[in-house]
Amino acid sequence: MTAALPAEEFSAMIGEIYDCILMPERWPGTIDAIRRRLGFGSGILAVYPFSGAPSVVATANLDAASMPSASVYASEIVNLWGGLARIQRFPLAEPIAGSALQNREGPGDGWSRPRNIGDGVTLSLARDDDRVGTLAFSQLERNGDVRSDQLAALRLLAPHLRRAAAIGNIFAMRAAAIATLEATIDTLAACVFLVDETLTIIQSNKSAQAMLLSGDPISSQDGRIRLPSAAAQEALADAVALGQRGIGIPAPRANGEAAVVYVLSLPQGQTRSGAARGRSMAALFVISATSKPAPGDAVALLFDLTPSEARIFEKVGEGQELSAIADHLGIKLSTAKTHLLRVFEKTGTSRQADLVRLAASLSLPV
Amino acid sequence: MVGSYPAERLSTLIGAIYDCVLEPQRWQSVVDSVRTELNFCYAILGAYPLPAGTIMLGVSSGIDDTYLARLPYFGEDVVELWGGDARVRQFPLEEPILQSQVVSSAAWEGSRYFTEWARPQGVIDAVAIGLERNPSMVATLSFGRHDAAGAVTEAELRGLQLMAPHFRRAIAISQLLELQSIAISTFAATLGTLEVGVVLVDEFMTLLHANPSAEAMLARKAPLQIVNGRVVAAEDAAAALAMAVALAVDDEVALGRRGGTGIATHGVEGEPCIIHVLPLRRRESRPDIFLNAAAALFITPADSSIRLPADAFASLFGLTPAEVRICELIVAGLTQKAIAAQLGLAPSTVKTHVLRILEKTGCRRQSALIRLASSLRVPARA
Repeated sequence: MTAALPAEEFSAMIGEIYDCILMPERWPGTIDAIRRRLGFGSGILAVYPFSGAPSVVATANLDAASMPSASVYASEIVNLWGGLARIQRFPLAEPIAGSALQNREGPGDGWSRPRNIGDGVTLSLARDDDRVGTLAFSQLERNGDVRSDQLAALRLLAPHLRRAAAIGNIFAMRAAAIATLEATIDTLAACVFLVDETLTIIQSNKSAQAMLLSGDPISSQDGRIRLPSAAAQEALADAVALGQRGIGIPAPRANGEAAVVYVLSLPQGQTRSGAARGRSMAALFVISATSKPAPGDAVALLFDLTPSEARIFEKVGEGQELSAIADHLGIKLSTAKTHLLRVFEKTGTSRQADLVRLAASLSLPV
Repeated sequence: MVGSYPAERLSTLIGAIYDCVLEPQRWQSVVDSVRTELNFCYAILGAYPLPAGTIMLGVSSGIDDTYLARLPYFGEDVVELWGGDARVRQFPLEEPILQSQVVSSAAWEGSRYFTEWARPQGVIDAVAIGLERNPSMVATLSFGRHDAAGAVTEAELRGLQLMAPHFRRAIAISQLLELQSIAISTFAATLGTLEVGVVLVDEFMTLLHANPSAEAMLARKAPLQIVNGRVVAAEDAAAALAMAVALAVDDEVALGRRGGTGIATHGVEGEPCIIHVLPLRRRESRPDIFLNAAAALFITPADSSIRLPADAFASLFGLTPAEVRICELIVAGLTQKAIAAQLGLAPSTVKTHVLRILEKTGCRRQSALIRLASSLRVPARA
């Protein structure tokens, strides 16, 4: 290949390998191009965990008729090469031809002959404590053993394949981390907006998206946070610009329900080059005065409350009056009082005000 | 370079470009070697954020500090020389443009850039390559040719043509990785502002993330700790927590509909705590991403210190400063008698204030006021 392949084509082939970092769906096409150029029969890129089934990233030119499923094929290749423990000892980014291996084990002729496979080559691209990532090509029987020019060409591509696999792995892991953190912020009942210093909305969680749709009390104007009151808008802009943390801005809803927008400036990150990032950011948490009950089961377990006592705890915790609670539960006021005294005793409190504070602290604040 | 150029050398040079994706400090040596390889006297690789901001990547090779410092003064002059901003934008990306082919020698020799910057260094020609031009970034790679090296040849331009797509791709990948790490640190910082402890676990209870509040709890080993790489709750709650997380994996919909579940346990001082277990769902728009986190655990210890947003609270309900002060003390758990004593007021005065506060906030009782205030409490760490 080194002699036959023009530099432009060689460079383009390497480029295709790195395209797979951001577009992993291109792996099959890339492996197929390498396979065709180097004259191999089929190709398979897979990750082999030390426990569990291999996960196939891409295949090229697997003949569906004569081949089992890709993952079975992948497992068979491992056996053919003497097992995972052996493959794991192969040097990284060094192509190993099957015909070059001493005391080859595995299914042998019974496996390869019906598939017209004469030889093959594997190339380990990544390895960590619990898995190996390997690219394998088969050589059709009529083409004889894997040749030295094929190995030389693979050796030239190997560092690029290895690098692309490593960077692609980091890219995928970061994407998963982002998805996880996003999903976490989505679970919050509070509306969360991430804004830059111009109040432009960079990100919003599910609750916040719903709030933007209703526009109450926060709406978006040209992609920026908009509060109904001019004074609140100004206070918000100042708090974000000054990088304040924990300042609360009143934002009553249209129905009069109280809500507070908390401005939590985020610490400025650093770029990899060490320079401060261009823009400062703030998280806005919109907290409404809706009741957020502490989970009743857990509270009952925590303080060893009977079901009746747990109900009293919940209602008193909401700030309700004992006579109203008794009416609501259909019990006598004196009974409710007895329960309440037991709740005081079990929770170590002595006033209804303390119970409200206790219940509030055990409920999710956001 | 092409044809006679050894494939091994080409492969190594290209590989070195992509090494810079994970190790940006290597850009310097890559730019140095491409410059010397192709016989140029200087090279500049720059990536600039749009619309403005700190330079993302700036590497120069073969220019001494004095001339480098003077370069920005000629920025507009150079763009003008090349036919203005609109024309520069039309040059195709990845294509080396030879200055002597697009700039007349009269314009070149008449420019201040030539007389004050290029000529004193013996620079006779230049090549510029646009690498990226997207809404958030511009990146260029340019080279200068010294008198002693003679005119730039076709072979060298073809060499640059070979390298340009790799520079472009490596910079694009770097930019995306950078955006990812910004997103991760922003989301983590957002959870980090919260007073409530947040712990993210996978189905095997492996710790994936903990915010600073939760880290403090893990360090105290209560109510959660790490044992053999797994997050475990105190003995009385360990089984219940493991079961809740398993439920989050198996039936996230059911658990989610119930708003998650609460696990009762105790903190380091024996204070009652609840671990709220919320299942994490995949976003519908991101089905391609394997989300290995199973649940978010929010840890709320029983704690009587509720911080009231005094200014916002006053403004929401039209409270006077005196009323806000009393409000804070009520929320802090003081009785009216204690408030009177602390503020040096007559109990009757305090009572009058309290009645006004209840009226303004629409609360019928003091405990309802505490409930209202605590539902609006500051969620951030102090």
